[in-house]
Amino acid sequence: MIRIQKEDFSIDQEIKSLLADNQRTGAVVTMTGIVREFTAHQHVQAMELEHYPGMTEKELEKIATTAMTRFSLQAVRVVHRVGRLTAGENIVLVIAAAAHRGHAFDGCRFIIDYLKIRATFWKKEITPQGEKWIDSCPGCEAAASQWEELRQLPHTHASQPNKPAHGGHHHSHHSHPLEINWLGLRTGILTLSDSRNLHSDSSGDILEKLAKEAGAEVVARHLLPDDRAQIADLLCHWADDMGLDVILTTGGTGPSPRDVTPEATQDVCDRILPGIAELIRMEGLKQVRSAVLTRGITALRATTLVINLPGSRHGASQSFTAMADLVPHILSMARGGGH
Amino acid sequence: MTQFLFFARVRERIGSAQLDIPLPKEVRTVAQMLDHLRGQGEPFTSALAGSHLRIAVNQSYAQPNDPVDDKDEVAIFPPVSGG
Repeated sequence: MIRIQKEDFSIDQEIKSLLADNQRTGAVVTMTGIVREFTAHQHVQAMELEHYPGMTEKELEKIATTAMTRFSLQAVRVVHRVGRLTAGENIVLVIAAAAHRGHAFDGCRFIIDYLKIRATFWKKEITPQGEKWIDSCPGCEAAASQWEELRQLPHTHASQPNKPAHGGHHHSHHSHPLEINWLGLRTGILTLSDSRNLHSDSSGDILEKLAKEAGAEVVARHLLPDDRAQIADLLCHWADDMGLDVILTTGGTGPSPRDVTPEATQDVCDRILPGIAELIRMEGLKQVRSAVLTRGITALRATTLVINLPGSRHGASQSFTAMADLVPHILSMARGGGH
Repeated sequence: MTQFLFFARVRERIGSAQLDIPLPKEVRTVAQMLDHLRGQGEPFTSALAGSHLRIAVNQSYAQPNDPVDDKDEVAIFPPVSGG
């Protein structure tokens, strides 16, 4: 079922040998991972892959066995390569065989999503500028956590008898907040203020606490004056160079001419999610009428989500709670995942 | 002696892939074990700095409060990046 090897693999041969004993298979889905020649900024010449012999096989067995049961798969194969691989070469192959295509697609995707967060492999990129360990996988925790979310849904509906049923299909959309799960999300917190310093930054403190409680890794924290160019510059650095998943800003969203956080965010982002900012203002309005004066936006720079929150400690924490459960789903979709 | 294995960036910073290190009796959990190692000076202090490390005890992921003892195989590594 599981193989770790230096050599390349042939997808055809793997499928043939997998199906040799399975006459009842009606659908086979394969996923092949390939060494990309270009990442965000760099030309990748090769990758060095290492793993933890023993543990890797155990983790992959657990994932494959879980997938077989959960999606009624008839056969699974995972082949992962290690050692030095050059651009364009195969890295990993996942095959899921089932009676029908739905289970084969779901099973294959479940296995690769969990492989990415649990299987003990590490990649080092070799570029003309030098070597670089890849020690994060933006969006991977979010992708895997979706499978948990789907499983929780029927239970959530059952405990809310006043809600109309959604036809029992597990892809049904939920309108009520779920558990906040930011497990593994690399998060930055940026406070914008002309008067505070990091020691008196109680809004940044509460956001850091809330993000950590949700499971996030807070890997960057900074305070800047209300300066549009400086803010834009730091957002780019955190998104592009540090590869953060989420950037929470607090402050600089009011109507005063000094407040430029939404403008700086708009300067560097490509897509706006108006609904999230509306949700934040709607929740704020329940507490205080002036909450509608916050001009904060929520937007994506490629796959980094930037969320402008108000500057007050209470406003920041309330706004976080209003939208945080939606973040893993946004990131997963921004990275090309489905619902 | 507890057998320690290090991988990827942690292995490079420690300078070896495997070390046998005795753990004092009062070290009973994963969190205490990490604190103990960090207190052993360089290269441990800087190689094990930060909160992003993953720990496996006997080839299974472990949480800070899980037990460790001197017959265990303990692996310390950064978040995984395969696939």
